[in-house]
Amino acid sequence: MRIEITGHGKLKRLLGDTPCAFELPLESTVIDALNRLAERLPDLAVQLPQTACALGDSLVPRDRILQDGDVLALIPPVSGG
Amino acid sequence: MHLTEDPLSLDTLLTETANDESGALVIFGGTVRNLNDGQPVLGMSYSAYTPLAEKTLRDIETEALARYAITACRLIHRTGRLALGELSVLVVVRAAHRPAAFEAARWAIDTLKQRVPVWKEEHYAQGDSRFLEGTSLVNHPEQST
Repeated sequence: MRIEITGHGKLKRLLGDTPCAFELPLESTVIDALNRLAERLPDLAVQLPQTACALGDSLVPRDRILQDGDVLALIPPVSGG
Repeated sequence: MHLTEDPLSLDTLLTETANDESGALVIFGGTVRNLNDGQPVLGMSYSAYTPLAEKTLRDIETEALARYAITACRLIHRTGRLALGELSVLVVVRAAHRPAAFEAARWAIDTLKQRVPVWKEEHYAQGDSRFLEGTSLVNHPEQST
């Protein structure tokens, strides 16, 4: 299956404006996608423990099973206001 | 609408929240200031993950109405590049009496800063910029559901 990952806040600098696309086995989870991304972008690995993940308008846990076509958003620590 | 690239309109929120049951109105506005950690700041860029930011801002409004004896709560956050002094966020709360209005407005802005996926990037006189540190959402309850 194919999934995409987008970066936000300071992570947009690391990932760029174009979503990173991956082919992953069926039943892959969020953590599988993050591990694959960290292989491609080693500088991201140190940021991941503090990075939340979202699908659409919901935060999702690391063990969430992904579906084909999902767009996973990486949410670094927030600082609005 | 809870996120906008346009200048924030207090009048719009006052009109939206107007009601005859309220004797108290509390407004909080956040503005871009010229100094942070001793470093002169020229401006601020705000970015958001829109789907979750919109939902979380709505959720905070709903939660404020459930937690406090208030009649209305509206939040709006601006995105894009802002100059010094421009409004980045507005909180408008109305209640029958002022204690609940003050408490709810304080809670709403504090919660916004801890939960809404918005990021600040400060721009400095030397031409460089920096994303400000923030609050991680990794341990937010939704992450474990």
